[in-house]
Order: sequence, then structure tokens, then C-alpha cells
Amino acid sequence: MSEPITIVSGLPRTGTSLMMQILERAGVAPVTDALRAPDADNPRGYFEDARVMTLGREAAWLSEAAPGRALKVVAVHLQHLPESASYRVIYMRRNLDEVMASQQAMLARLGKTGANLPPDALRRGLEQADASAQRLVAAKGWDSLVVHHDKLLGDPETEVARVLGFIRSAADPAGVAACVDSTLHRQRSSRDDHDASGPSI
Amino acid sequence: MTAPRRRVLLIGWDAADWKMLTPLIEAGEMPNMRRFVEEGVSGNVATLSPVLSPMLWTSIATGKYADKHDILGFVEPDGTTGKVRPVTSTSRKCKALWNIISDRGMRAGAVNWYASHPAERIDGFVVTDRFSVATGALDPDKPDLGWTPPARSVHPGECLEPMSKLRVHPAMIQREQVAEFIDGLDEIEGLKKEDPEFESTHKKIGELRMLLAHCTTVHMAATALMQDEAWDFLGIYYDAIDRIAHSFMEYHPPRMAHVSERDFARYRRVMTECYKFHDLMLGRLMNLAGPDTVVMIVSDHGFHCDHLRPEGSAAVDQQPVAWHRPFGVLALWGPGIKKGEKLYGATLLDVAPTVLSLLGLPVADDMDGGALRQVFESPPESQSVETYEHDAVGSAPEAEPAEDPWVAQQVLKQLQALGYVGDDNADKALIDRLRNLATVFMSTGRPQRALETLAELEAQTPDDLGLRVLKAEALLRLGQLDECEAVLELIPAEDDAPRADLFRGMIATARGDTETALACYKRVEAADPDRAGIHTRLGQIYMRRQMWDDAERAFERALELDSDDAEALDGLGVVYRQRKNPEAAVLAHMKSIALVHQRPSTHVHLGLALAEVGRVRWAAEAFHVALGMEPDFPLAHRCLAELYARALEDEEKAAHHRARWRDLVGVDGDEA
Repeated sequence: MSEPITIVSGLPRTGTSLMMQILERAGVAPVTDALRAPDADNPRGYFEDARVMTLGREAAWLSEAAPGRALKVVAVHLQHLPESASYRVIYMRRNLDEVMASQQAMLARLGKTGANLPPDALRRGLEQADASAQRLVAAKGWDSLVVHHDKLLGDPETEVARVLGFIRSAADPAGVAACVDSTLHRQRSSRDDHDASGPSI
Repeated sequence: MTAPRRRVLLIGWDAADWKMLTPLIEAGEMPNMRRFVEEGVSGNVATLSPVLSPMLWTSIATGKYADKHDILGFVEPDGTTGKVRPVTSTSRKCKALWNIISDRGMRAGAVNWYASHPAERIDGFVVTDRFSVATGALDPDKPDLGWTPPARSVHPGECLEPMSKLRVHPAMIQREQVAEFIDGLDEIEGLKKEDPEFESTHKKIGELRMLLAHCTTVHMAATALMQDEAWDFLGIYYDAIDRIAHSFMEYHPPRMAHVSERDFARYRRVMTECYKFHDLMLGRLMNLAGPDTVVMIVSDHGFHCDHLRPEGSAAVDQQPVAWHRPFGVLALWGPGIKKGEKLYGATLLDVAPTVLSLLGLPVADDMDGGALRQVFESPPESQSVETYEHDAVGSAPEAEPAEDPWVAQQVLKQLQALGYVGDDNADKALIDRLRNLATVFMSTGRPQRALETLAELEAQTPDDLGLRVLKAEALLRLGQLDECEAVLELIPAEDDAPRADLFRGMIATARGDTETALACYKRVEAADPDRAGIHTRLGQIYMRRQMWDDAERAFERALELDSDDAEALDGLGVVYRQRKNPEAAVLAHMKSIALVHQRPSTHVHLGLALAEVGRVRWAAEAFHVALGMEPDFPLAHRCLAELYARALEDEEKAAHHRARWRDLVGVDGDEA
């Protein structure tokens, strides 16, 4: 069996790009096509590969490109990961009000329209998507680690140490944590709903 | 010793039609169905609009229009993939019969019902509409026969494995079984791959095998559960007649113009054998149900099988809905049911209330149908509750919270806009859903709600022709004639000129311009002489212009084309009364009401004819029925005022109705 693929997942705008940077600094190379350039929403880049969006139709590239590397797979695409590879999942969670605000800010910048839903319905929909993804990870039996966005920005060294332990990396936590910039924590909310959106993995 | 409690077995035969059943019953080919006609109550049941099976079967199971139960199409968005999936039980927004009956402490079962997956946890059993789908190749050496039944397709869950052994795979359908339906199998099997007919014939046989396998699986599952499980109510849904009809009704005799002699010879018996097969299964079900069970058979719509078949194929990727007929089958047989009687005026919405009444349960006020009390030898006392939706007893919640697929679809839309999700196939599902919802509102007398829904749809598909047609219809119903004309201008004339003329005729009629209306309708008649409804519209315009001979000819032509045209029958009745033949008028109006009960104007016309033949009490009853449907019908009040004053000698009631009429029309005004 080839090396596991480190999957970074969660809802969009929960810190998945940040986690990809952390893993890169820890020596886990990202699988990325660099198609989406850094911008105001992600000044350091997205660390994405567009092929993830069509995993349901074409997944053969994964076994060639991804073993031993990190791949960002947002929550809705998790269920398309083929059974033929082995995975460990770092699942990012964030206060949903912050997620919604961040998504809204990004939509505004892109000049696009999002969901045609009142805020409470959108929140419920995002909660369901988040919970559904976490149930999937549990059901698949993948090794997994949940990382909370606010804790990562609040105490980067401790959280990075957890991540390094999860991926069995000998990298120095302080050195890796230096890439975490708490000034990038925008759309900060006072609401604490770490456990509100479904079971922990 | 107390009498055993009456049970109810509800059998759904999608698309079953009396036009197919009656000749077969009379020829002795369907002896079990004959028992319903001779020993039970039978008749037409009016369908709902749009005529789409998932919506109709959910209305049958809930007694509610589709805007209440929210099953609005065949598919819904899949919240995790962004694509579509068959509509699920979690999308239904109200309780079905099996939930209600289970909640009330009785045992309920449902087998293969539309939109029943995943299986709901009730006091009883559920086999969902995904259970029988053969998703893999047959491998008899494997415990699951090579194709794993979907998780949550059976409740209780521990029954999934034993039930899965009852499934029939298409590969198990033997050649001899196919030969019961299709002639010339030797010749078909002799075709070479290079032969131009090879692919089409093998595809047809493959379809038949698949549908027979699916039907047999449903029957095996249902009969096993009937024997092994206790139940007070069981609903079984068979979709084979509809699905086989969509593939083979074009080959049913007489031969249609587009069908070759060869294909006609091969496939002409398929539909007849399909119905006979269902009668065989019915016999088994009746035996297993036993003497304490009322058996109900219902179909959601009929299926054209004669000269009214549209040109071309009935295949589901062609024009499937055009083949559906507005009247299906309803028949009841068993303890407490009248014997050898005809049933009139039923709609699909009446099935659930009738089942509840048969079980001694109240009907909910928020159901849109009512119990068919005329089927009972001794009608039970009417009982009602406000709603069953607040009942908390019984149906256990799902282990996972139900996801609203439409919210999930909007979430995916958000992620798509953010660039995290690719093409969203669920957009079409949303468009179809809104279109179907608008049609529900239009067909149930809510054109304003239809317009609001169409406005939402227009934002997404501004150039959709079908949407414009619906919008024109809604504006017409609301009397917004100028706006209707403006929308008609946007419909290309070359696309369907008769339809444009039809609308212009209706607008002119609404404006009282019968001359222009007549000209428009005559143009439609010239261009498309067999267009549904055109002769009835002509007849109605001729009546308004008092051209009685022309009106009679038009209505008779309409009835030649479709003997179940309720409006044409009603119009003919009015003509007969003008011709001083009220007896014939009474018959015509009664035939019309037997087909479509919910037309207040027909009841008024019947009342007028009954009064002329001297049946004044029956006439009064007819007028009251009309007022029950439309309390502000001025003519009904005026007629009752005269009847009570002159014939029934009840001046108090006469005064009441006279006053009501004056309020509605103004002191010196004419009624509409």
C-alpha cells in the first residue's frame, strides 16, 4: 500500500488553505495546479487542484499524483475519494457565522450571487453539509484529526504540534507555526458553536 | 367474541385504465378484476395536474395537493454531489397513510411506494422503491446475488438480508416467460448483429425482462410480508403497467401509422398480457388478504390505448405525459362495501380519507380530499381531526437528521459561486420543481400563487416558452387580459399558431367579444381539427351566440374524439334543454358530473333540467351542491329563490337566497 494522502477538508473558508501551508512547511508537499492565484481572500494562495471538482467522474490521477502529499478536498467532494487509496484527514472547523461572513465577503469581491436563502436556512444547510461530511469520514474509518480555526490562530504552536503528531512529522512546531498569521483572522465572531454543527469525527 | 378488525389493502396499478380493463373483463380474461366490478364498487378516479407519478402517488398516500406534501417531480438535488437523485421520502413534508396509521397504534406496511426511500421507521414494515432495482450483474453464487440491495431500503433493517433473497433479476426471466408477451422470438433471436433491427429488438426485450423482474420482485416482497407479518394497512405500488405501456402501447391494436407490420405482429399482445399478469397477481393478493380485508385498487391516471393515442412514441424520452389520460381506475371490494355499484366523482385525493374511514380513523381537516361515503353499505359516522401532523406517537425519527435537498442545493449553488464546486446539474431539477408547483397552483384555482412561482422561475429561465404559456394562462384566469396579450406577443407565432389563436379566443371570450372568439377558434379547428378541447370551446361560443345547431354539432364532435369530455357533455345538456328535451339534458349533465364532480356550473345546469322535468327537490339538491363548491354562485341562489318560492313553499329560504343573489349582483344587475 502506498503512502497515505493527507486530505485537508472542511467547509470553504474554515482555514483549509492555511492548513495546506502548514503541511507544506512541515514537509508534506501539496498537490496543486496553482490555477487560482492568491488574492485578497487568500493572500498566500489557495493550494487547490481543480481536478478535485471532478473526482466523481475521473479519479485515476489521484493514485499517481497524491500519495505522500497533501490535497485539499472540501467537504462536499469527500465522498468521491476512491477506495483504492489510503487517506488521513485533517478536518477544519470554524464558527459558522464566521464561515458565512467570510463566504459572503468573498462572493462580494467576486461579484457573484450565492444561495437564495435566508441566513438561518443557509446556516442550517451549512451545518448539515458539515455534519454529513464528518459522518462520512467516521463511516469510512479514515484516520482523522479535527482542528478548530480559532484555536489554530489563538495558539498556533499547540495546534501545529497536534498536526505534526498526527502526520508523524519530526518538524519543529515553532518553526512551522511561524507561518500562521493571526492578522488574517477576519470576520471574527463572538459566538462559540464548536460543537453545534454535528458530531466530532 | 369480537369481530376481527377490518383491514385495508391498497393496491396501486400505475396507469391502469378502464378502456383496457373492461374488454378483458368482459372476455373473461381478468376474473379477479371482474369480482370488483360485480361484487364491489368501481368507477373512474380523476387525476391531478401535472400528471407526474411521484406527485400523484404521494397525493394518493397523503390526501393532499402537491404544494402541501412537496414532492414536486421525479428527482431532487443530491446535497453531497450537486447532481440529482430520485426523489426521497425525506423530502415529503407531511405524513403518509403508513405514518398516520402507525402513529395511531395500528400496524402499517408500504411496498415499493413512490418516493419511499429511505425506509421510514414505522410500526410495521417498509420496502422502498429502490429495493428492487437491479444495479449489478446476477451472480447466483453470491449471498446477495451479486447486487447489493441499497442500505435503508427495508424496515426493519434486520429484514433486509432475508428480503433480498426474494428479488428477481432480469437475467432470471426465462425465454418462455418473454414468449408469453412477444411473438416471433425465434425470428428475433435469429437476427444478426449487422441486421438493422437487431439493436432495437434486443433493447425492447431487455426492457421487458427488466420490467417483469422488477414487478415480480415487488410482488414477491409484498406477498411474503402479507403472510409473515401482522398488518392492518398495506399499500403496494406496481409501476409495471405504466412503464410497459410507455414502451409498448404504441404497438397495441389497432396498428398505429408509424408502427411497421413486423413490429405490430411482434408486440401487439404485450399490453393485454401485462394486464392479465396483473390479474393473476391480484388473485393471489386477494387470497392472502382474506375475508376481513377491503381491497382497493387505484391508478393515478389512465393511458390512451385507442384512437386518442398521440402520434409517435410513448417512450419516456419522447412525449410521455401526452399519453396519460385524466381518468384512472378506482375499485373497492370486501366487507362493508356495496356490491355491484358504480362510483362517481372520485379524485385521487379521496383515497387516503377513504382508507382512514375504512379503518375507523378520523379524516384530517387539512386533507384536500374526503372519504367516499357512497362506497359503504352503512356509511360510518363522520369523524375528523384538525391534522395528523402534530401526532408525536409512533413513527420514530430517522437516525440521521433529514436533509432538505432544496436547501442543500442552494448551499451547493453558493459553493459553486465561490468556485469550489463545478457544474451544478441540480439547476434543472429546481426549474422543473418550480414549473410543476406553478401547474399545481393553476390546476387548483390559485392563479395568483402560480404567477408568483412563475416570477421566481422567470428569473432563471427568462426565455422559456413553456413558462410564458403558463404565465399567459394565469393572467387569463386572473382577468388581466392586457397583460396576457403582452405575454402572448413574446411567444413566436410559428411555434404553435393554433395555441396562440386558442389564447386569443379565450381572451376575446373573457371580453365578451364572441365574434372574434369564434373566428379564432375556427382558425384553430381548421389548422388542427383534432386538437384537444377545441370543439368544446367552439360549442360554448356557439351557445353564447345562441347558434344551437352549431353548438350541438361541435359538442358531438368533441365527444366523438373523446367520450369522456365532461365539458362537452355538460354543454350538450344545455343544448338539449334549449331544445325542450330536459330528460336528455338531465342524462347528459349526470354523465358529466360522473366524470368531473367538482364543477359547480354543471350542478346548476343539472338543477335547471331537473326542475323542468318536475323533480324539484332533486333540483334544489343540485343547486345546493353547487353552492357547497362555490358559495357565491349568483345563478344558484336565484334558482333556489324561485324554487323555494314557487314549488317548495318555503318563503323564508326563498327570501334568504333572493337576498343573497341581490347582494352578489347588485339590485338591478345581471349575474355573470
